[in-house]
Amino acid sequence: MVIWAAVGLVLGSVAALADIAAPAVSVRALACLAAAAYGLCYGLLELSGRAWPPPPGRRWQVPQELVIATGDRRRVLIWGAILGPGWLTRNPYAGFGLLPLLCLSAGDIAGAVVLAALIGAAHGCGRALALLRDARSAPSEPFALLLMSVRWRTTDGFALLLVAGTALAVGGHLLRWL
Amino acid sequence: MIALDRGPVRLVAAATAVLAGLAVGWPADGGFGVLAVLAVLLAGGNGYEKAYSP
Repeated sequence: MVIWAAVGLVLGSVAALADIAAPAVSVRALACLAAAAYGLCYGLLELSGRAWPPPPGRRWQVPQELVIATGDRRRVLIWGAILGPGWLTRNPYAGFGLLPLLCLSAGDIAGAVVLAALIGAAHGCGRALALLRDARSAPSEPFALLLMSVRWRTTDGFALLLVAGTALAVGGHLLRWL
Repeated sequence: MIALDRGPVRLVAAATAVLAGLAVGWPADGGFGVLAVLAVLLAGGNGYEKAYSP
């Protein structure tokens, strides 16, 4: 949540500076249109099942030795700083890449910080709930895991298209297209 | 149950998702609230589904 709030501060500052530098251009509207374009492209890609181009992000995974047989403090630090926020590790779903664009479309610093903090809390809670679910049930077989990831990719694709449509409507209103 | 793995059905469902998004965003009249709510829901879902990445 803190890391996301810091990201929101940076993105909100960029939006505010861009508004000062070029008052004729609405950063909010441009960010909404960029979010709509991203959502449409990657939403259709995820629904089509194509793997290329991959969603933007890193390929790194936390090495097992960093979380296995380590102290509680270190484990909490790794979860809080790396796995919870989601910036440093591999994420095969394109939905994550849309979130910074949506923060930028808040248009001001306070809005971007609040939204980014809420996004960080929601992302971290989602990860924690998944972890609790995994702890209760037996580990999935590799093929079942693969099948579930395909289904989640489809769900992510529909979510991206839904958000893209909303961003298009909001951006269109801001630019007085609609 | 609708077979979403069939191409034409999936295309119609994709178009419906975009239209639903437009319908949700239209009454906002340029306001940011609806988009912010969707962003938070997307973030929560993304965090949860990441557990299924092989």
